[in-house]
Amino acid sequence: MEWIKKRLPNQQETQAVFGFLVFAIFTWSIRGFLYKLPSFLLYYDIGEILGVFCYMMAFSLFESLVLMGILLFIAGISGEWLVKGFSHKSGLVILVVGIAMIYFQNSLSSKLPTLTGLAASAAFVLFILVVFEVLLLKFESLQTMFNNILERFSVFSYFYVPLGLIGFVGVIIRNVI
Amino acid sequence: MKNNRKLLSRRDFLKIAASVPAAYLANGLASGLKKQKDSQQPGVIILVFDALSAENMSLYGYPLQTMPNLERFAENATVYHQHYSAGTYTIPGTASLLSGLYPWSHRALALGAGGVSDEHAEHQLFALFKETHASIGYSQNKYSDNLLYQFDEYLDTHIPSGAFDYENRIFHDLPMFRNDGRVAFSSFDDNIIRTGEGFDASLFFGPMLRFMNLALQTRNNRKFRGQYPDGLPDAAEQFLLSDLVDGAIEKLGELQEPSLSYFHFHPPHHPYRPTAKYAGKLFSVFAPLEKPVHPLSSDKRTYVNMRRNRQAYDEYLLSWDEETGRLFDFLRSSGLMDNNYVIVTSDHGEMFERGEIGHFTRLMYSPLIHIPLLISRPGQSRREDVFSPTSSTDILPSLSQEIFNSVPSWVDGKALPSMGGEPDPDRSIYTIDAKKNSAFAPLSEFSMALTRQNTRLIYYQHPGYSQFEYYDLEEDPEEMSDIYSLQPAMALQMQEEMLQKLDEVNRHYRK
Repeated sequence: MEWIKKRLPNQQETQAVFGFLVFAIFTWSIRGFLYKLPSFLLYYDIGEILGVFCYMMAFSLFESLVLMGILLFIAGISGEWLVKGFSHKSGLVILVVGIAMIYFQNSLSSKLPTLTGLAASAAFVLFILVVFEVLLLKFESLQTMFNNILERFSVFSYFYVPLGLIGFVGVIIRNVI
Repeated sequence: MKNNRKLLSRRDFLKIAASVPAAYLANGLASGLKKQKDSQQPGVIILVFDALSAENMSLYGYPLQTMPNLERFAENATVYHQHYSAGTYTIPGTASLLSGLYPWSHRALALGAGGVSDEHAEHQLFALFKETHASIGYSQNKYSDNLLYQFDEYLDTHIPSGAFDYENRIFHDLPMFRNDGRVAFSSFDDNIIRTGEGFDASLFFGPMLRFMNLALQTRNNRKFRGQYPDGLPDAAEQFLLSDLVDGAIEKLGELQEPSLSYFHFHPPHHPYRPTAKYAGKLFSVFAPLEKPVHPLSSDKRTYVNMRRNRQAYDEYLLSWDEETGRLFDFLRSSGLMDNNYVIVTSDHGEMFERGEIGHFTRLMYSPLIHIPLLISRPGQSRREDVFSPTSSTDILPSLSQEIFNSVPSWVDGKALPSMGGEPDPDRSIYTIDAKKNSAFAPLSEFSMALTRQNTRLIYYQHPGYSQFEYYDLEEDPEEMSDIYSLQPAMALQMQEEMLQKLDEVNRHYRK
């Protein structure tokens, strides 16, 4: 137990990162729901619309937990490198990769990008990550500010996680009962 | 006092609990007996080819022989020459076919998983045949599969939409969502992880799965390049035409008599992916008439582009027909045609004119609404031709008339000639497209066509565009000259009839 504890980031940082991850995933999912809502209103009743919302929230919770697990796993196997400064490093990854994913999904409609294009995009994302990480490491005040902002996001986990759980219960009810 | 209120003692409860399985068994036995009792009745096999336009079939006068095997099937069937779909795309078209109702009644109007209104949820073929026939439902098209999910309780076997596909990556088909397929579809496959243009609602997994799917599809296309030079056919999941027919043959071979079998195949729906044998073979063979781009055309495609797409569609028809030839041979050799009504039709047509390609359009001309209908009655040995106008809403009442000797009171359609009905050359046939209209509100944004006595009145009622068009189909089968402005008496009469009908169907939804 002690061995695991030593390899994992502290609770406060984990909570801040989870809050930010949950915020990004759930907010994007709610955006998707609201985008489709006018069309749902054309043919679904309120129960069915809430049903769709349940699926989306349950899936967001699943996505958040899996990605948080991956971040903690990477932190665990990386030794001190990622555990130290877990909050700002993971926060930065979520922010930059999240933005990249938004761009990526819009450009992936019917054609697979070329290997060169893909490598160039990955290199660009990595470059941005490195630049921001260097800036955060170099300017401690910037890092503190970034960590403080992330900490504020932990409040979202108190709202979104129960929403995800309610969604999960809703999905169970719709499919089992 | 308190004890008196107790409804069940523990002993009573145990007795009832013990009798539940027996009751279940008895119920199953009773329904089995009932089905056996009616086993002398003929079965029904409905084969729907999605987006098959009669205007692209030589059987209906197209200059290219695109479906020779279907023509062979027609030798033992009744061919309906003026058959029209009630909707212009899958959802309303299929709902009308299955329910015998026009879209203004069943209200499956919008592109999504809405289904028919609760009021008409039991007004469909599967419910009608439930007591007498075993039923199988299969739709490769995910949107019409949602209708099967809505009617699931009336289906003995609901074959998953991806059952015969080469890949399987659709979420709502998973057994865990069996009870909630429609909402699961709207959540997952139409929102959380989408295909094509637009954003996924899943920020990280969405694009990752998109990428993986595209990579797999690219690999599959490479693998089958020799067989499908333009890529594998795709119905949200890739498939091979031969697998599709093999799957259907296998399921039809397992039929218990009498059965109602509904097979809704995706081909020749877009994307048009002909096999190597036909790809590129029809280039420059046929030059269709160039028609002006319609103001309501959203794509405004060029003539060359439309012609190229039409060519691919025709080649895809040839490829699909080659495979369905095996299906028809099986139906013949297995004896299924001796004791089943075999119906071949479509949910809507496809158009390559006036700036539009496909069927997701507001336009409403013959290529889009004129669909094939061929019915082979049990043991039918020669071809019959029916030239009076018919509608896709007529299939349910016709089968009901033929098999149960009555037509349900709630249908909009009527029994087809040679299926218990009489030819009615003066009949009014409607086609409605109201994909932007709420299913719960009066029709206010729509395209509507009324075909009668070889003429057609079209009413386009869209924001910023409200227009009537009128065509004499006998003199002008290509619908080139809109003569509405000449105000022919027939056009005015049809306009009055249409507006009256509109008022009648909207009354129910007005507050």
